[in-house]
Amino acid sequence: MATTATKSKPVPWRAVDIVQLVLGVIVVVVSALIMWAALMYARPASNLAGDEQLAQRIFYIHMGCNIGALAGFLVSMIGSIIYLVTRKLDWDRVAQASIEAGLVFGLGTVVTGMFWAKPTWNTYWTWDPRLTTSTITVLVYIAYLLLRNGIDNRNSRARYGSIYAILAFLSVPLTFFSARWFRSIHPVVFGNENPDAQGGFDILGGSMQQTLTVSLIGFCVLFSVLVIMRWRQLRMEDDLAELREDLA
Amino acid sequence: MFYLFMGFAAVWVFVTGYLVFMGLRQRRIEADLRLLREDLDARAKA
Repeated sequence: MATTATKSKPVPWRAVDIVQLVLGVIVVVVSALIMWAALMYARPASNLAGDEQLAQRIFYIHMGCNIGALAGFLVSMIGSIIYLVTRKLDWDRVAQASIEAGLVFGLGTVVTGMFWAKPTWNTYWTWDPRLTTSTITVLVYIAYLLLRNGIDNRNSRARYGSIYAILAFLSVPLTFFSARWFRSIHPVVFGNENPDAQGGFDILGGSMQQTLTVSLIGFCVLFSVLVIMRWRQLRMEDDLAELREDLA
Repeated sequence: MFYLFMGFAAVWVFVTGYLVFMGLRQRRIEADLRLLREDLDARAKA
Protein backbone atom coordinates (compact mmCIF):
# COMPACT_ATOMS: atom_id res chain seq x y z
CA MET A 1 0.00 0.00 0.00
CA ALA A 2 1.25 3.51 -0.87
CA THR A 3 0.74 4.82 2.62
CA THR A 4 3.24 2.44 4.19
CA ALA A 5 6.07 4.55 2.73
CA THR A 6 5.15 7.39 5.09
CA LYS A 7 4.43 5.24 8.14
CA SER A 8 6.34 6.37 11.23
CA LYS A 9 8.04 4.12 13.71
CA PRO A 10 6.76 4.45 17.27
CA VAL A 11 8.52 7.20 19.20
CA PRO A 12 10.04 6.51 22.62
CA TRP A 13 7.30 8.69 24.11
CA ARG A 14 8.45 8.32 27.67
CA ALA A 15 11.88 9.84 27.00
CA VAL A 16 10.38 12.68 24.94
CA ASP A 17 7.74 13.26 27.64
CA ILE A 18 10.41 13.64 30.30
CA VAL A 19 12.56 15.94 28.16
CA GLN A 20 9.52 18.09 27.34
CA LEU A 21 8.45 18.28 30.98
CA VAL A 22 11.92 19.19 32.23
CA LEU A 23 12.36 21.80 29.49
CA GLY A 24 8.87 23.15 30.24
CA VAL A 25 9.75 23.70 33.90
CA ILE A 26 13.06 25.31 32.89
CA VAL A 27 11.18 27.61 30.46
CA VAL A 28 8.82 28.86 33.17
CA VAL A 29 11.70 29.58 35.55
CA VAL A 30 13.91 31.14 32.87
CA SER A 31 11.05 33.27 31.48
CA ALA A 32 10.46 34.73 34.94
CA LEU A 33 14.22 35.26 35.29
CA ILE A 34 14.40 37.03 31.91
CA MET A 35 11.58 39.40 32.87
CA TRP A 36 13.13 40.18 36.23
CA ALA A 37 16.63 40.67 34.81
CA ALA A 38 15.50 42.78 31.84
CA LEU A 39 13.16 45.00 33.86
CA MET A 40 14.99 45.31 37.17
CA TYR A 41 18.44 43.76 37.31
CA ALA A 42 20.13 45.20 34.20
CA ARG A 43 21.54 48.66 34.76
CA PRO A 44 20.08 51.42 32.55
CA ALA A 45 22.06 52.56 29.50
CA SER A 46 24.06 55.57 30.70
CA ASN A 47 24.08 57.42 27.35
CA LEU A 48 20.26 57.43 27.05
CA ALA A 49 17.51 59.20 28.99
CA GLY A 50 13.73 59.21 29.51
CA ASP A 51 11.56 56.96 27.36
CA GLU A 52 14.55 56.03 25.23
CA GLN A 53 16.38 54.70 28.28
CA LEU A 54 13.33 52.71 29.39
CA ALA A 55 12.72 51.33 25.91
CA GLN A 56 16.35 50.19 25.75
CA ARG A 57 15.31 47.32 28.05
CA ILE A 58 13.29 45.94 25.13
CA PHE A 59 16.71 45.09 23.67
CA TYR A 60 17.05 42.01 25.90
CA ILE A 61 13.79 40.46 24.73
CA HIS A 62 14.36 41.68 21.15
CA MET A 63 17.69 39.84 21.02
CA GLY A 64 16.09 36.76 22.61
CA CYS A 65 13.42 36.71 19.89
CA ASN A 66 16.11 37.25 17.31
CA ILE A 67 18.10 34.22 18.44
CA GLY A 68 14.87 32.16 18.57
CA ALA A 69 14.06 33.12 14.98
CA LEU A 70 17.63 32.45 13.83
CA ALA A 71 17.60 29.05 15.54
CA GLY A 72 14.25 28.24 13.92
CA PHE A 73 15.34 29.08 10.40
CA LEU A 74 18.74 27.40 10.81
CA VAL A 75 17.24 24.19 12.19
CA SER A 76 14.65 24.20 9.39
CA MET A 77 17.41 24.38 6.79
CA ILE A 78 19.37 21.55 8.44
CA GLY A 79 16.19 19.46 8.84
CA SER A 80 15.28 20.05 5.20
CA ILE A 81 18.71 18.98 3.95
CA ILE A 82 18.59 15.83 6.09
CA TYR A 83 15.07 15.10 4.81
CA LEU A 84 16.17 15.39 1.18
CA VAL A 85 19.07 13.01 1.88
CA THR A 86 17.27 10.43 4.05
CA ARG A 87 13.62 10.95 2.95
CA LYS A 88 12.53 10.44 6.55
CA LEU A 89 9.40 12.50 7.24
CA ASP A 90 10.46 13.15 10.82
CA TRP A 91 13.03 15.62 9.49
CA ASP A 92 10.38 17.39 7.43
CA ARG A 93 8.33 17.70 10.61
CA VAL A 94 11.37 19.14 12.40
CA ALA A 95 11.70 21.72 9.59
CA GLN A 96 8.02 22.69 9.74
CA ALA A 97 7.94 22.91 13.54
CA SER A 98 11.14 25.01 13.53
CA ILE A 99 9.78 27.42 10.95
CA GLU A 100 6.54 27.89 12.88
CA ALA A 101 8.43 28.59 16.13
CA GLY A 102 10.92 30.74 14.20
CA LEU A 103 8.03 32.78 12.81
CA VAL A 104 6.63 33.41 16.30
CA PHE A 105 10.02 34.81 17.32
CA GLY A 106 10.54 36.55 13.98
CA LEU A 107 7.29 38.45 14.42
CA GLY A 108 8.35 39.14 18.02
CA THR A 109 11.62 40.60 16.75
CA VAL A 110 9.87 42.93 14.31
CA VAL A 111 7.21 44.08 16.78
CA THR A 112 9.59 44.62 19.72
CA GLY A 113 11.82 46.56 17.32
CA MET A 114 8.89 48.80 16.41
CA PHE A 115 8.14 49.58 20.06
CA TRP A 116 11.83 50.34 20.63
CA ALA A 117 12.01 52.50 17.49
CA LYS A 118 9.17 54.87 18.40
CA PRO A 119 10.88 56.60 21.36
CA THR A 120 14.34 56.19 19.78
CA TRP A 121 13.79 57.10 16.11
CA ASN A 122 10.47 58.88 16.66
CA THR A 123 8.70 56.48 14.32
CA TYR A 124 7.39 52.91 14.55
CA TRP A 125 8.58 52.08 11.07
CA THR A 126 11.11 53.22 8.52
CA TRP A 127 12.32 51.48 5.36
CA ASP A 128 15.74 50.85 6.86
CA PRO A 129 17.63 47.91 5.25
CA ARG A 130 17.60 45.87 8.51
CA LEU A 131 13.87 46.39 9.11
CA THR A 132 13.02 45.68 5.51
CA THR A 133 15.11 42.50 5.24
CA SER A 134 13.76 41.22 8.59
CA THR A 135 10.20 41.69 7.39
CA ILE A 136 10.97 40.06 4.05
CA THR A 137 12.43 37.06 5.92
CA VAL A 138 9.25 36.72 7.98
CA LEU A 139 7.10 36.97 4.84
CA VAL A 140 9.27 34.41 3.01
CA TYR A 141 8.69 31.89 5.82
CA ILE A 142 4.96 32.66 5.98
CA ALA A 143 4.93 31.80 2.27
CA TYR A 144 6.56 28.45 3.16
CA LEU A 145 3.54 27.54 5.30
CA LEU A 146 1.15 28.68 2.55
CA LEU A 147 3.06 26.58 0.00
CA ARG A 148 2.80 23.49 2.19
CA ASN A 149 -0.93 24.01 2.68
CA GLY A 150 -1.38 24.06 -1.08
CA ILE A 151 0.10 20.58 -1.66
CA ASP A 152 -2.04 17.54 -0.86
CA ASN A 153 0.42 14.69 -1.38
CA ARG A 154 2.39 14.22 1.84
CA ASN A 155 5.70 13.30 0.19
CA SER A 156 5.52 16.07 -2.44
CA ARG A 157 4.70 18.54 0.34
CA ALA A 158 7.81 17.46 2.22
CA ARG A 159 10.02 17.56 -0.88
CA TYR A 160 8.93 20.98 -2.17
CA GLY A 161 8.82 22.35 1.38
CA SER A 162 12.40 21.23 1.99
CA ILE A 163 13.71 22.76 -1.22
CA TYR A 164 11.88 26.01 -0.42
CA ALA A 165 13.19 26.07 3.18
CA ILE A 166 16.79 25.66 2.01
CA LEU A 167 16.43 28.52 -0.50
CA ALA A 168 14.52 30.67 2.02
CA PHE A 169 17.45 30.51 4.41
CA LEU A 170 19.38 32.81 2.05
CA SER A 171 17.33 35.68 3.47
CA VAL A 172 18.77 35.08 6.97
CA PRO A 173 22.45 36.04 6.33
CA LEU A 174 21.15 38.90 4.16
CA THR A 175 19.21 40.21 7.18
CA PHE A 176 22.20 39.76 9.49
CA PHE A 177 24.62 41.63 7.23
CA SER A 178 22.12 44.26 6.00
CA ALA A 179 23.08 46.77 8.72
CA ARG A 180 26.76 46.24 7.88
CA TRP A 181 26.62 46.18 4.08
CA PHE A 182 24.04 48.91 3.49
CA ARG A 183 23.58 52.38 4.95
CA SER A 184 21.42 51.72 8.01
CA ILE A 185 20.48 53.51 11.22
CA HIS A 186 19.94 50.18 13.02
CA PRO A 187 22.55 49.63 15.76
CA VAL A 188 24.89 46.66 15.31
CA VAL A 189 25.30 44.78 18.57
CA PHE A 190 28.17 42.46 17.77
CA GLY A 191 31.23 44.34 16.57
CA ASN A 192 29.54 47.77 16.75
CA GLU A 193 30.50 48.33 13.11
CA ASN A 194 27.82 50.80 12.06
CA PRO A 195 28.81 54.49 12.35
CA ASP A 196 25.34 55.66 11.18
CA ALA A 197 23.51 53.82 13.99
CA GLN A 198 21.01 55.80 16.06
CA GLY A 199 19.97 54.71 19.56
CA GLY A 200 22.90 52.38 20.10
CA PHE A 201 24.55 51.87 23.48
CA ASP A 202 27.54 50.09 24.92
CA ILE A 203 26.99 46.94 26.93
CA LEU A 204 28.74 48.04 30.09
CA GLY A 205 29.16 46.06 33.27
CA GLY A 206 28.19 42.60 34.33
CA SER A 207 24.44 43.08 34.77
CA MET A 208 23.78 43.98 31.12
CA GLN A 209 25.95 41.14 29.84
CA GLN A 210 24.40 38.63 32.26
CA THR A 211 20.85 39.71 31.36
CA LEU A 212 21.62 39.31 27.67
CA THR A 213 23.11 35.84 28.27
CA VAL A 214 20.09 34.70 30.32
CA SER A 215 17.76 36.02 27.63
CA LEU A 216 19.59 34.28 24.78
CA ILE A 217 19.74 30.94 26.63
CA GLY A 218 16.14 31.27 27.83
CA PHE A 219 14.77 31.92 24.37
CA CYS A 220 16.75 28.97 22.97
CA VAL A 221 15.13 26.69 25.58
CA LEU A 222 11.69 28.17 24.85
CA PHE A 223 12.28 27.56 21.15
CA SER A 224 13.29 23.93 21.84
CA VAL A 225 10.13 23.27 23.87
CA LEU A 226 7.86 24.74 21.19
CA VAL A 227 9.57 22.69 18.47
CA ILE A 228 9.38 19.42 20.43
CA MET A 229 5.68 19.99 21.21
CA ARG A 230 4.80 20.85 17.62
CA TRP A 231 6.95 18.03 16.19
CA ARG A 232 5.08 15.49 18.30
CA GLN A 233 1.78 16.96 17.20
CA LEU A 234 2.71 16.88 13.50
CA ARG A 235 3.74 13.24 13.90
CA MET A 236 0.37 12.47 15.48
CA GLU A 237 -1.45 14.26 12.64
CA ASP A 238 0.44 12.24 10.02
CA ASP A 239 -0.26 8.97 11.84
CA LEU A 240 -3.93 9.87 12.03
CA ALA A 241 -4.06 10.68 8.33
CA GLU A 242 -2.41 7.33 7.50
CA LEU A 243 -4.83 5.45 9.70
CA ARG A 244 -7.74 7.16 7.99
CA GLU A 245 -6.36 6.25 4.58
CA ASP A 246 -5.83 2.63 5.65
CA LEU A 247 -9.42 2.40 6.85
CA ALA A 248 -10.89 4.09 3.78
CA MET B 1 6.78 53.01 30.04
CA PHE B 2 4.08 52.39 27.40
CA TYR B 3 6.59 51.25 24.78
CA LEU B 4 8.41 49.02 27.26
CA PHE B 5 5.15 47.38 28.34
CA MET B 6 3.93 46.92 24.77
CA GLY B 7 7.26 45.48 23.62
CA PHE B 8 7.32 42.87 26.37
CA ALA B 9 3.60 42.12 26.13
CA ALA B 10 3.77 41.56 22.36
CA VAL B 11 6.27 38.71 22.65
CA TRP B 12 4.33 36.84 25.32
CA VAL B 13 1.08 37.37 23.38
CA PHE B 14 2.69 35.75 20.31
CA VAL B 15 4.05 32.80 22.33
CA THR B 16 0.71 32.34 24.13
CA GLY B 17 -1.13 32.58 20.82
CA TYR B 18 1.03 29.81 19.37
CA LEU B 19 0.44 27.63 22.45
CA VAL B 20 -3.32 28.19 22.13
CA PHE B 21 -3.12 27.27 18.41
CA MET B 22 -1.33 24.04 19.34
CA GLY B 23 -3.86 23.33 22.09
CA LEU B 24 -6.83 23.76 19.73
CA ARG B 25 -5.11 21.57 17.13
CA GLN B 26 -4.50 18.88 19.78
CA ARG B 27 -8.18 18.93 20.72
CA ARG B 28 -9.12 18.39 17.08
CA ILE B 29 -6.69 15.49 16.73
CA GLU B 30 -8.07 13.86 19.86
CA ALA B 31 -11.66 14.33 18.64
CA ASP B 32 -10.71 12.75 15.28
CA LEU B 33 -9.06 9.84 17.09
CA ARG B 34 -12.20 9.31 19.16
CA LEU B 35 -14.35 9.27 16.03
CA LEU B 36 -11.98 6.83 14.37
CA ARG B 37 -12.08 4.53 17.38
CA GLU B 38 -15.89 4.61 17.39
CA ASP B 39 -15.85 3.83 13.68
CA LEU B 40 -13.52 0.89 14.25
CA ASP B 41 -15.70 -0.42 17.09
CA ALA B 42 -18.78 -0.18 14.91
CA ARG B 43 -17.01 -2.11 12.13
CA ALA B 44 -15.87 -4.76 14.58
CA LYS B 45 -19.42 -5.25 15.84
CA ALA B 46 -20.78 -5.44 12.29
